[in-house]
Amino acid sequence: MKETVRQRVRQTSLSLVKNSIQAIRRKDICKTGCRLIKDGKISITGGLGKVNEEELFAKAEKFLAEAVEYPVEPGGSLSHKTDLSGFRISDAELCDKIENILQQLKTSHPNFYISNKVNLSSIDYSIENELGLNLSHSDTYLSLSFLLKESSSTGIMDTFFGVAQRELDETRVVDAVNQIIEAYQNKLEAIDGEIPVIIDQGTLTRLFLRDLNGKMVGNKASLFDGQFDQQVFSEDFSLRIANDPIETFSPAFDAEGTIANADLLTLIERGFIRRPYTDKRTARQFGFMNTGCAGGNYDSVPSLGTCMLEIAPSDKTLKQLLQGKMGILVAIASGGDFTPDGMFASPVQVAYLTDGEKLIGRLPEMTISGSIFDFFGKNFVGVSSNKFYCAGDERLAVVNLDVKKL
Amino acid sequence: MYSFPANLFCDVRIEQVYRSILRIEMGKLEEIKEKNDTGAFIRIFDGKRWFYSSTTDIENIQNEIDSLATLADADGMVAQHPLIKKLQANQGTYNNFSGNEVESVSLGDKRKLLDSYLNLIENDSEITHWSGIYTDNHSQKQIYSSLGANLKFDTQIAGLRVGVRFGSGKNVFSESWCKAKSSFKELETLHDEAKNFIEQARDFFHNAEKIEGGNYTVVLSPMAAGIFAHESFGHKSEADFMVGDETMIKEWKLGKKVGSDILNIVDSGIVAGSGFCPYDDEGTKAGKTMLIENGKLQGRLHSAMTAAELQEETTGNARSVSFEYEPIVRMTCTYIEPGQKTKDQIFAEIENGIFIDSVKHGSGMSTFTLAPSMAYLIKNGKIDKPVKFSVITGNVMKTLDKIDAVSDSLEILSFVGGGCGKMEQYPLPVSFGGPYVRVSEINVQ
Repeated sequence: MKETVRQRVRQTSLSLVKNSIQAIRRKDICKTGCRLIKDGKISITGGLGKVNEEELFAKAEKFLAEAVEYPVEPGGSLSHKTDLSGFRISDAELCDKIENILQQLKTSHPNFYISNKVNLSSIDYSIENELGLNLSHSDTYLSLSFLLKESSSTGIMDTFFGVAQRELDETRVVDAVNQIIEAYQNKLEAIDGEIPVIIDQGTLTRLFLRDLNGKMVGNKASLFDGQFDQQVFSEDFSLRIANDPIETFSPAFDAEGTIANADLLTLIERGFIRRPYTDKRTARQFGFMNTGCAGGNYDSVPSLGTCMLEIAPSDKTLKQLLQGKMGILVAIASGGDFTPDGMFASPVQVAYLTDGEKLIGRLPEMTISGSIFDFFGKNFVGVSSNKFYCAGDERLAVVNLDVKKL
Repeated sequence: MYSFPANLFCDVRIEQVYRSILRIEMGKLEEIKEKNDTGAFIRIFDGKRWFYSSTTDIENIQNEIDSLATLADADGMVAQHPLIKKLQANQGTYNNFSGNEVESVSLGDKRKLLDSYLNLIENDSEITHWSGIYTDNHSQKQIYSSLGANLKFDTQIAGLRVGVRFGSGKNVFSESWCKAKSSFKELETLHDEAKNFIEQARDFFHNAEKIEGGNYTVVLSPMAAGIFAHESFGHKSEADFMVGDETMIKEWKLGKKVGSDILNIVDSGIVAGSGFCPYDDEGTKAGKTMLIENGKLQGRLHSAMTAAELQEETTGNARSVSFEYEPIVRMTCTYIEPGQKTKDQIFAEIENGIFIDSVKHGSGMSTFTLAPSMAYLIKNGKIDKPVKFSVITGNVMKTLDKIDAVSDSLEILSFVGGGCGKMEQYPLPVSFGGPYVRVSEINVQ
């Protein structure tokens, strides 16, 4: 059975140095992977640019005897198409609009430099095979990554604004960066004690990527071994696999062409650990359900890697979750980690005080720490129903944490 | 070779890359692949702005040059631009790995090598999950420019990574042994080292105890010292962060005292291993750059652009992760130079401290962190017991000043399966290392 993976990335990239566009890069790269699945094995070859697919399949056939065992059914009889490529902007228009944003910010905050990247990416990704699998994903989006540095600062960067979106609303970008810079310049006194901390979900959920991996669970190597179908976390805490292309900027299907049923995406349900995340082979080996989390490059054997996770949002806005209190928004927390038994500690280099709608001011460097069982247990407040544009246009987690000045 | 447009600077970098990878997990072959990729990166500079293009259509590079040139404003004075004057026009062919190319080794022999290491851990009842990877990369680069550069050179790395996880539930511990060399043959005799490392991890799994946070005297292993040098100081030595920034230029003025008198930090592209980079991706010849000498700022890392802006010399540190990206200022092999004391002397002088042996990752802005994997309590000058905690952290500059001893032997570490990240470009192969480094006070969390 022949299966073909095609990936095309067209990109215009602007390099920003001190509020001006220093360089413009463009690329248009095609990658093709040819998978031959036969006799319980999978052999893959691939190439860049223009390729002769028949030659690649012939090469894959030649290596089949030494290939990887693949004792699962390939995908078939499934068509799915996602097209999110409606955002259109020419390179010249993009440069004009970004220069306008940079100029406005330079005028309002001449003591701040903006550097780094703006990428306009158009992605086409497809998997199709002889059994009727026909999946495609197209997306066009803009990634803004602004490193913000005060001119009097001796650091490489002081704070950050980053967002991925399928539009360019110059006013919204300028307003957000202005708000960040103004809050950064308003230095506040340190706050100690147990305080609602607002943090990007991935910082705290990354332990689940390791310990809810199907291979780890199947081999009884997980931190959560023996705790499945038990209430381990707060009943307000549910964790699921994120596969909505609008939110994830990624295909709805995985590298094996699986689109998992919605009811299989929930890994932790109201505090109960329900299932690990899996691909076809892991699911088969250990008797789990396939949650459609095969990953890999265009020319790699699709296998279980990581997946994108999201905490089920509450029905409350960030402001409502704070219940009239002030919260600490973690803007940059670089270098933290979990110990194997789930204890977490991290310095917080940049944090802002917020009422859930506006950034009030910048707090001194601090540390946050605790156990994953408490983060999503007794200390868990919830995930906001709304997105906070200043913090990457994400839904943010609120956790009551003991905060200490560094 | 190419017809370069008039009154513009242009260069072309062509990369031909051979790679192979074998991955075995819990006894099953999960990946076996070898491939050859070719791509090119084209740059044009008109005196005001750069224009880049990456392509896999090697036959049509000339068309891509001509197309890109239409975006630029030709300037008869571009050759006089300070940036252009910093670019080297090196010529010649420098094949550093002739006779030892990893593509000449069969996948079968690579499989046998990997199996021989995995035999060390198979059927071990305490290891609940394990995996092994062999991977290699031989990159041949060609650089042509409108200044006359006509350069061919290569880099190569081959490496192994063996990952193990002991235990289950709340009593778990993961570690990985990783080693990379310049040739396949050099990987054939490291079994004892791998075995000893796995046994050390087993001991850590069984015996590590939690400790109270607080301030400790800390000894960094060569790995920990290397990561500290790379993350906490190396990135600050990359001169692109200083361009046009008067505060940074003043703060990082050469000759300024930035660390203790015994501290010397180096970046060198000519050290064998994963940071080996004899010419950078602008075709500039690499060398050894002293970043800190006797505690004073001595140098920094440059591309042609940053060297021109700061009126300093290029250092051969303009690197990119692949033909899809432009070269930016990056490290190569960054290390702390050895000192006078023996390792035993450094430990003997500590009454109560921490030894960081292996590290999961590190980061560094004004505050640095290192997340240890295996760490030990030092009592009365000797290693007492394995201990676990999340991170060590501190102010970079204060910590550099608190380095009070460095041992007398240097160890450089090379790796596969990861690398350095900067902006959108990850992973770039680098190496790092040092001697054993003692810091009088670091916060343990």
